[in-house]
Amino acid sequence: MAVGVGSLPGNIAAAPEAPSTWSMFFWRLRHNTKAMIGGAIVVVLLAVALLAPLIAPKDPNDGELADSLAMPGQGYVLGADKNGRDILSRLMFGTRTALGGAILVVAISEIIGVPIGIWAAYRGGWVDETITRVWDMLLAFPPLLLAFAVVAAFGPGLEKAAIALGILYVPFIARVVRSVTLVQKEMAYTEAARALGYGQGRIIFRHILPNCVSPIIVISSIDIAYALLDLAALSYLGLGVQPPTADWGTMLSEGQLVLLTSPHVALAAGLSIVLAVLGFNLLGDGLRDVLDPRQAQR
Amino acid sequence: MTAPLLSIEDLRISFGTRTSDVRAVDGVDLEIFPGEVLGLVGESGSGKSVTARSIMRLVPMPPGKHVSGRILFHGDDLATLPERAMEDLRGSRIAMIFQDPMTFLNPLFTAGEQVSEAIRRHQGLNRAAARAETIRLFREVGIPSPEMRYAAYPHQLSGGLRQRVMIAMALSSRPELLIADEPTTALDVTIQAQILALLRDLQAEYGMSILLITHDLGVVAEMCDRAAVMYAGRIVEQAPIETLFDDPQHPYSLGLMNAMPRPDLPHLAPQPIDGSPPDMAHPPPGCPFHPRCPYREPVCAEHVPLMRAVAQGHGAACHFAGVKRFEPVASAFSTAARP
Amino acid sequence: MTRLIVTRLLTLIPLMFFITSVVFFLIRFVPGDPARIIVGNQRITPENLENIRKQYRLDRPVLVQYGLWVRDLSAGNLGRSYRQRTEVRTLIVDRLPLTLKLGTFSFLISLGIALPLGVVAAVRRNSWVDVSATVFSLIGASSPVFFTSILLILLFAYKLNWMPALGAGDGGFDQFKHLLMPALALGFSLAAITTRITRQAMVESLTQDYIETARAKGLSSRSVVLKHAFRNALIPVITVAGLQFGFLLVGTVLVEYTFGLGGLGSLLVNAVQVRDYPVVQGTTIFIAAMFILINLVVDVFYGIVDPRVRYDGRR
Repeated sequence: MAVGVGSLPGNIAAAPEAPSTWSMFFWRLRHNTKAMIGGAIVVVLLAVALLAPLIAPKDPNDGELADSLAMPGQGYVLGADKNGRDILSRLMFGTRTALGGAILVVAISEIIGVPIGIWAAYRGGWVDETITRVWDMLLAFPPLLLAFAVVAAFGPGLEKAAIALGILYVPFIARVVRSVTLVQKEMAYTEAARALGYGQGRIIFRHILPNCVSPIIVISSIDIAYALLDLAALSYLGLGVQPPTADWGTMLSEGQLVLLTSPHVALAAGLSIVLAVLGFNLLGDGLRDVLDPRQAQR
Repeated sequence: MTAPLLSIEDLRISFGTRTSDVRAVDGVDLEIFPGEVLGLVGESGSGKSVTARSIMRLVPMPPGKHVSGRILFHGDDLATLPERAMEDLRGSRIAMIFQDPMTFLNPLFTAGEQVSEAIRRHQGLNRAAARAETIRLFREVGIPSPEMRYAAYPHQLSGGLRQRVMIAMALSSRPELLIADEPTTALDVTIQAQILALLRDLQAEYGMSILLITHDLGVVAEMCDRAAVMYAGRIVEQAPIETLFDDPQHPYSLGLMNAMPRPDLPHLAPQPIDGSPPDMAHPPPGCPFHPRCPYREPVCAEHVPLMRAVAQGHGAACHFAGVKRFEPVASAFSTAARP
Repeated sequence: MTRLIVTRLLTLIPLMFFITSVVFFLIRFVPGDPARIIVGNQRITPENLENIRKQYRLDRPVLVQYGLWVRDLSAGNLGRSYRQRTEVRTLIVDRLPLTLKLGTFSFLISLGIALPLGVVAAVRRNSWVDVSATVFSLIGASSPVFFTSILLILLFAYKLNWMPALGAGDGGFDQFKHLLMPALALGFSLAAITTRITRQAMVESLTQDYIETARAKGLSSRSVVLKHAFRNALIPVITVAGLQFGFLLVGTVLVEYTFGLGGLGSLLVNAVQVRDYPVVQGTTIFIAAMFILINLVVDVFYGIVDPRVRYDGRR
């Protein structure tokens, strides 16, 4: 039915190949406001995460109890938290935790999801059917809920939460890879390649993987946004990152305790989450517009 | 001569794109007389559909833009009529049927609901009366077991039945003018003939005028009293139907006829016109048809030919209309399948 | 229609089976003694540990345990909380009404925002309404619901002093007052996505051919938009609203925690925090069952809106 929600990812544009396609890609990228704003936010965040030890004004874990809950200004750009730790420095190191965790989630989902997607499309038949069924179920079910069960069983912690979410995110990526593979498998040039006696491996590496690149980039960006939200939620509930590691979600729940007197703690942490998620969402949306104009028109 | 029911004067409609304006309709003059069936013929993109839709003011604006021109109907200019008055007129005095009755019927409402909605809108009938009237109309347009079909959804009806539903909807308020936009193109050949026969019968019965938009000269030969040929947003020839087929005065009309498959004359292979219609964002100078015209002369690339009368009721926009003789390969009209 | 419900039920049963299996086998995968995990970090005598093994049948082979557990489940027996020394079922039944109220309230708020906003944005494309709708849905989708909650608390409870910040109130109007902010926070988050989908669906259905037919009939643009276009746009909106129930369930968990509401969500979060596994297991399964039920309702609703589904079971 044409009135579907997301149109099938099957019609995702082919990956840029020729140099002219690349310059076209960059031209469109530069003229896409969403991608440019999102990209700028993402670049800044990545830089902060990498350079945190160099640019952070103070040690994020070294608190001066006398300065507990200092307001912004008084020797601290964004004030201090309950333990007298510099909020700006904790935000900067928190960027590392947040991006590191989210990228870990997405990396795990892709390492598992890409082969599964290709395999499902290649094998077809009952293998495909079973796999699709399973992930259709998983897609409908909120990952965070199953992540709770994992944390209850294995105990809290960033790595455990990230691994659990990574596994639960597999269907998002596998679904897209499968549909791209299905299309490419049927494409005339793949048929030609097979007729010339190329092996499956060569077809996968020369034709299928390159065509998966652009949809994977788009999905990665959007999935990082989701992972940031889910990890922040786990940490906020005390189930993810454990103190004293600097983390936005934990900072937010600490800040909530002192919300009445020192709202700057919660605001700083919350706005950081919003900014990061917004950045990756915008970048993902923008990249989709640029890489897949057909789908973007809607 | 009787006064026209509707007259279009110098209609120009363009579509703005980011880089340039596309002139979809580029100075059309056309009159439709009471009780006649007028064919508007042309390839896709010639502007015939936009012309027809602008009569009903159904061209979305923007991106469309009404550049100039009047559309006179009983003394009102439909191009400037207030929207309220236009709504009252649509579906009551001027009605329209469309190409693909599948996509043009709303999938979520029953066939009957969609027709009775139009009846209630224009005749103020209550639900029950509108239902009875719909069933009567269904019977009139030849829908078998109309009570049952009233409750059927579009996807449960065949293409022919869907088009009959559209016709019932259009005729529900006895319009003076029916605009039929490629009404048979999406249908099977046998169904096409039935629908055309139905339209002809209803036209005689209701005494309405029909503006029939089609790319199919066979349909024109079968249905129309008069035809206007459109090319690149302009009318290039108009004539009574026999005259047009026997004595075309524009090379494009001739080309269309030669491109027609002739089941009655199997030894004549259809000869398509070379080239393709011009890019309407950058139309060629002079006569828009000259790049494809086998009879072109240097003047054709320089001056736009104006419509000139070659006989009573017969005009053509060609520098050589009435000068050169454009001979059809075989007379389409005299041998066409008209009863 | 009946066939539709039956087929949908048949496809949803595997999901139920899948989730129950996952939560059941999860603690069996954890390195160490499952009995110890059930107990959590508490100190315990060896005899008590042995009792727990018996109670949770951990002395039997895993598959037997699973079979008996599923049998209990189908009888509605969700086990016993070790911490609270109560039946998990009782805990859930106590906490459920608040969560249901919160969820329904939030859902209604989200539709109340998203449908009008999405429709107007689609009809007046590129107007200021459209731009604001886009910005709203972008920011809404990027803002964690617990942060939105905190912002609302700051503004309405602390700054303006209009509403109570925490707790569930004493029933009646007081409860309504206490639930308003949590429901608003969750409603905003839900509305972000629904607005976007409504706008997209309306833009799409407004360009369909049957819209031209409706206009050619002489209908006013109001009835063209609200009757012909909106009804068709509802189909994708229902799909997304259905998918959003998962999000809604997680959202109630987070919002209850932020606002200190004693619903199903805080039951779950507290149980996870103290690692009360029987409660986590029971609540998760219960939520999954609710999720499946709601999906079924959505499917039925689908059939009501779309005759193609009603008659052919197509989708």
